[in-house]
Amino acid sequence: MLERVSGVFVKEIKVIFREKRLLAILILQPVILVSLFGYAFSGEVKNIKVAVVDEDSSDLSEMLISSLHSTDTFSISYFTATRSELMELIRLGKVHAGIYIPKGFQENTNKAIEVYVDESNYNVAATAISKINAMTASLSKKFFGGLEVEQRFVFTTKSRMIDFIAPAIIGVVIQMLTLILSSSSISREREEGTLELIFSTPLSSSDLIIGKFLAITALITVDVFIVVALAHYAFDVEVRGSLPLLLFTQFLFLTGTIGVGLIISALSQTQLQGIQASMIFGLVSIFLSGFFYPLESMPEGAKTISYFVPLTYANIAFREVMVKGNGVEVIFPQIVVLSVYTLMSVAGAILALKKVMGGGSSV
Amino acid sequence: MNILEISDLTVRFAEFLAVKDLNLSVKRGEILGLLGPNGAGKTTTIRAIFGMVPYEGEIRNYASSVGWMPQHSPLYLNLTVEENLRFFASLHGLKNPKERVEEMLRLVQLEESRNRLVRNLSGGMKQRAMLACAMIHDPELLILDEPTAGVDPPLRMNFWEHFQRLKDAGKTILVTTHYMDEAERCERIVMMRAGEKIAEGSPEEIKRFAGEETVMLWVEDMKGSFRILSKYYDVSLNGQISISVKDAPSELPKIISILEKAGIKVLKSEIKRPSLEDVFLRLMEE
Ligand SMILES: Nc1ncnc2c1ncn2[C@@H]1O[C@H](COP(=O)(O)OP(=O)(O)OP(=O)(O)O)[C@@H](O)[C@H]1O
Ligand SMILES: [Mg+2]
Repeated sequence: MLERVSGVFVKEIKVIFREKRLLAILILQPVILVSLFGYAFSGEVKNIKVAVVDEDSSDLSEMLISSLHSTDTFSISYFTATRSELMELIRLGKVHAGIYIPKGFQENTNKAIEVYVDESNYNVAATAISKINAMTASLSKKFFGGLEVEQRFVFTTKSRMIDFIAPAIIGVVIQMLTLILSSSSISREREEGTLELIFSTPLSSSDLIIGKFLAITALITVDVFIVVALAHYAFDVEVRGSLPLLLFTQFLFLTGTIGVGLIISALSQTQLQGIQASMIFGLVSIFLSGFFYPLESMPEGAKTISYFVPLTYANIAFREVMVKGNGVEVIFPQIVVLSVYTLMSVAGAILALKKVMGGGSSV
Repeated sequence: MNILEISDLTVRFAEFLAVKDLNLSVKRGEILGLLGPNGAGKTTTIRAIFGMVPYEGEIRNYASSVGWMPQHSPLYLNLTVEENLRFFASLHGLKNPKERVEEMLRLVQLEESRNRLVRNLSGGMKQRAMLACAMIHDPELLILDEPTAGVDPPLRMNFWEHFQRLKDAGKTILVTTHYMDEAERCERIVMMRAGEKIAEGSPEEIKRFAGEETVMLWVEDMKGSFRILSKYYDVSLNGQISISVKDAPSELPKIISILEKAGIKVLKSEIKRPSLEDVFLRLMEE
């Protein structure tokens, strides 16, 4: 058993290292993808045109407007009288954001300012909202002090898109690489005829799956380091929580995904089939994992499917650790789910292979 | 006695019957040749033995270990010859593979090419590497699917000398081939056509079973002899008299006595047996 598993392990690593194309994908893909996302989302957005409606004309509203003036994130282009004018300006594309300060804003702690943003540019919109939140937060501290104000303004100090989106990007990139490597691994051997040959030896399905699983795990773990290092050093993505915890959850995520890839590969007749099936799985995962829409706003059916997608749990766990700085006590459920996922998918791959190879040979 | 017994083996690919009710047993210690034209079902039979195709019927294996050399030498193209050997050694759980790997490299004369990727080997060299991998664990039963396809004549000789040595050492070999000289070296032959067994036996038996033998006579009175013999036999005239019979050695005395009774003297007689190739061709035409 041990000789066979380690034999498969060594063979897999060698084969992948000799496959220049595959190796290039493994090394270049994370670099390219992270850089692409990084550049797209990391630049600080400046000079967002805003329109302001000030119905309050109070000290507080004055202060808010002057702090809008003082930052180079915004440039105030219009003061308008009504909220509908403000919205019209956004609709026409004259401004990207509008700030409505209601009457009684200063007096009444229940009154909140309203921020309108042009949703067509996600990056600008997110920056505008978070920046305004940050400004009102610091204002509220100055003006009121104390605890109750904290509740009035929801805020985050993050002002860059990439900090929000990096956890999801990391998940998607790792998933992609893992699927590429695992989903063609067995079907390729089937196509080339080696699968039959090795199954005529005492090799069992579990020997092969475990050997391949370990080899792919080792390789993708290297990718995890590349991705995290690149995000951190090149794009200043912050990991607020524990780095080892983050790496550990990523490890669990990639092992589960390898299991899925190997199941797909065991059931595919050709490499192409394997790649196609894993692409469908990959895309469905991305759509349903909360990458595009928050889980909460998904229709019931989609939400149910998303519970079977490891990326869903990975996204939550990565975000909790990276953005919110939470620890194992918070992401414990995700860790459990991902661990179970790994065990089940690897067992599933062994069973699938056993089934298609007819439980080995009659000799 | 038998090391492998196949009874009523039928293999279907959708509607197509690739093997029909095949009964075949391999005796311990023999070299059994499986012959037949392309598409006869030889490879399919072998794949069934290894459980690689769904089949009906029964396959019983009494060998403690089996080695398989598939038809198209599916080795790992991106591994070297030696790495392939080591990998197969590990699959068989060999405790001390190093020596065995060396032995195999020497046997198939690939010592010099041990560090070349299989991808870059010539066709015949791939066959040799495959044979080495199939034998790495010194199996009791060796199943070889066209082991010498693409192998040059001197090496083909080497291969067969080695098969003979393995047999002498008590191993059993089931081999398919399209070469008749190789078939002649088998103790027994099973001929297949369109998924069915059409003949079985030693090369001698097969020739006798399927092929008509020819008695050739040189006589003083050709015309007279022809007239007389035509009453009893299938005779033709072509420089000498040729008579097709089933069993020439037993017919020859009878023929001579018929002619002597008619007063014709036989100058010379000869028996011509068909080659395996003749038999093969005839069987395939039927
Ligand atoms: N996987 C398959 N699906 C459908 N038909 C198949 C399959 N494998 C083999 N066949 C068919 O079964 C028949 C027997 O093929 P097989 O490979 O056993 O012949 P063979 O005797 O080994 O021929 P050759 O001398 O060319 O190697 C052929 O008609 C072939 O087309
Ligand atoms: Mg064949």
